Amino acid sequence: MLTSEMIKERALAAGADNCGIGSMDRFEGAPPEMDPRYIFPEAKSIVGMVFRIPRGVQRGIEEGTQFYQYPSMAYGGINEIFAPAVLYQVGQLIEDHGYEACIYRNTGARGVVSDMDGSPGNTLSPEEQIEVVNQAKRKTAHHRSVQFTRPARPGQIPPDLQFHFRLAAVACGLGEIGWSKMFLTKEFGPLQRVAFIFTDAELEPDPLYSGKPLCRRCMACVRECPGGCLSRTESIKVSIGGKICEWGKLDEWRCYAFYTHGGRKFNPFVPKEVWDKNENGDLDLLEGKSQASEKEIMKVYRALEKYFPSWVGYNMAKCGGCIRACVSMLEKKGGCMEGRFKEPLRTGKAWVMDR
Amino acid sequence: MINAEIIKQKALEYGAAAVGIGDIAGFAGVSPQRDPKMILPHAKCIIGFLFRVPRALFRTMNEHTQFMQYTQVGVKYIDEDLSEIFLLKMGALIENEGYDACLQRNISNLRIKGDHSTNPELVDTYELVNAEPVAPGKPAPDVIIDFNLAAAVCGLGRAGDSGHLIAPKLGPFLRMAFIVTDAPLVCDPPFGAPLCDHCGACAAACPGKAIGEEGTDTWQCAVYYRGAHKSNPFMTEQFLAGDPEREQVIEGEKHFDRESARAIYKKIDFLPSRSTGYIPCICGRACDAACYRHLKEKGVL
Repeated sequence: MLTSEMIKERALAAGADNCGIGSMDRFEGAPPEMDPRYIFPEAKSIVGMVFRIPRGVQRGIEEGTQFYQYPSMAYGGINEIFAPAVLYQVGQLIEDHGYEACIYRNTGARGVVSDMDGSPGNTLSPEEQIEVVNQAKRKTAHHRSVQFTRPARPGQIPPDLQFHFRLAAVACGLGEIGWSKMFLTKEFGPLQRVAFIFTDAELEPDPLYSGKPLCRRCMACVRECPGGCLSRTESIKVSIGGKICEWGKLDEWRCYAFYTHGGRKFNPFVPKEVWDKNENGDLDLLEGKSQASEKEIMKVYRALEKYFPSWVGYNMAKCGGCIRACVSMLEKKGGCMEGRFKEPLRTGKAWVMDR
Repeated sequence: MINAEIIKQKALEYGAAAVGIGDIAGFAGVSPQRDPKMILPHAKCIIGFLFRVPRALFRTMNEHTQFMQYTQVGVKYIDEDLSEIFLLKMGALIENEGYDACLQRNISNLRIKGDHSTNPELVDTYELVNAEPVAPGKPAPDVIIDFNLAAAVCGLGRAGDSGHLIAPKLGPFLRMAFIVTDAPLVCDPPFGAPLCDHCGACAAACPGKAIGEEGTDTWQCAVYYRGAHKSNPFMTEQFLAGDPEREQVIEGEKHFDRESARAIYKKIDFLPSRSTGYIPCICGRACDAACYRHLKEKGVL
C-alpha cells in the first residue's frame, strides 16, 4: 500500500530537499482559474517538493560580480532539469502502485490568467526573456501568450491552468508566505523552488505549518526593493485550509521591470549615459516617471536589448532586492534558517552603484 | 564533517570522471575578472570536476557517419543537464555542513569585458562590453573563471597547444565544472607538466588552420567548426557559389576575424541548430581527435 512515508522517502532519495503532502480540499475557495482541482478532478492529494536554491549562487550577486549562475542554475537548472527528474521518479513510484501521478513542474506561468495582474491573456514571468525583436513582428504580444485558449467542455477552465505555487506549498505544510510574497521554509528561508504531483492516492496529509512565524515582518524586503514594488502597509490575505496567509501588496509589473533591468543604480550592464539620456522616455518606468504596465515594460526591453541581449539566456536578477535582503536579515535576526551557514551572506552594506 | 575524501567519493558517485581540489591561492595574480575570490571573498578552495565526453562521439564524426550526437550529448547534455544536476547535488552536500558552494557551470555564451574571443560551440557569444563595476575595487561583472587555469589549480590537467584541457585518461575528451567554497578542504597539488608535447597534430588536423603558435584563433575555429571546409560531408557546390573567395574559404586559407566570421555564419548552415543555440560540430573536433590519437599511441593516456 502506498503511504506518505514511502513518497517522502523516494522524493528525498531522488534529490528533493523536503517533501510535504496536503489534501485537495485545502484549495476550497481558490478562484477557478487557479484551482488545481480542475486539472485533475479525481485528485485527493497533492505532494509538494522543495528544492533548495544554493546560497552560493546568490554570492556573486551579493558581491555585484557574477549574476549568471543564479538564473542558470537556480531557475533554469532547478525548474527545467533537476525538479522534473525528481518528479519523474516520484511519479513512477505512484504509478507503480496503480495511481495517477499528475506531475507539475514550474513552467514559469503560462496560465489562462496573468500571474502579473490576474488579467486574462498575456502572461509573463520576470525570469524569462522576451524575444523582443521577434515578438514585435507578431500579432500576439509575447511568446507566453495564451489568449486564444478556450474551455474544452462547458464548465471547464481554459488551459493551461496555472495554480498558485507558493500557496500550494503552504497547502502541503512546507512553510509560509512572507511579507515579500516569497515562500519561506524553516530550513532555507526564501531560498527554494517547489514542484508538485497531484494524485488520486489518498495519502495522510501533513498539518499546515503552525510553528513560530517564519517571516519577521522586518520589512527588509520593502526597504531594499529598488523599485519600491512592495507595499509596507497594504496587504493581500488568502485562506488555505483555514490558514490565513498574508503578504504585502506587490506591483508585479513593476517588480518584473526592476527584476530584469534593475534601474540605474542596480544594473551594471547598462552604462550610466544610457540612463541619463533616457531616449524617447523609454526608461521612464525604471526612472520612476511612469506607472508599470506591459506596454512600459516592452519599451524598456526594446531600449535595453542591445546592452544585454535576450538570447544569452534567462534574465539575470539585477535588482538584488528582496531575496538577499530577506536572507541577510534572517541570518542576523533569526526567524528561520538559523545556524545554516558558518559565515553570513552579507558582511557589509549592500552595494548600490554611485550614479 | 565534510572533507576532501567525502567530496571526491560523492563526486565520482554522482557522475564525475575525475575530481580535484585546488587551493584558492593558486589564482594569485589573475585578472580580477577571472578571480574566484571576487565571487566569494573568503573562499578557501575550488573543487574541479571533469566529465568524460564518450570517445565514440568523436569516432563517428571523424568517420563521417554521425554528427548530431556530439553536440547534443557531448556538449549540451553535459553542460546543461548532467553538470547542473551534479552541481546542485554537490552544492547541497557542502551547504549541509554550513559552507558556501558557489556553483560554476560553464558560462558558455558570455565573454568578460575585454575578451574578444568566441565559443565556436554556440550560435554566438556576447562580450560584456557595457559592464561597469558596481563599486570601486570590484571588477566589471560577470566574473568568469578561466576553466583551464582552474583545472590546473585543481590538479586535473593542463591546456595543450589547441587551448583545450588535456587530462590523464580522458585526454581532451572532457568537459568541466567547478565549485568555489569556503570549506576548509585538503587541497591537491596543481597539475605538473602538461601532457601536450607540442607535436602539432592538432594544428595539422584543423581544416581551418585555426591553431597557430599563439593558440587557437576562436573566430577562425568557429567558421570551420560549422563546416566551411572542403572535407565537410554536407558540402555542396551551392555553398558560396559565385563568391570569388570560395576556394580560399573551403581550403581553409582565408583568415576570419570577428566581423567576417559573423558575416559568413548564416551561409554555413548544414545541420539544424537554432532551437538549442548550439552549433553542430562539422569539423569533428579534428584537433582533439588527433590529439587523442597521438597521446594514445604514445602511451600517455
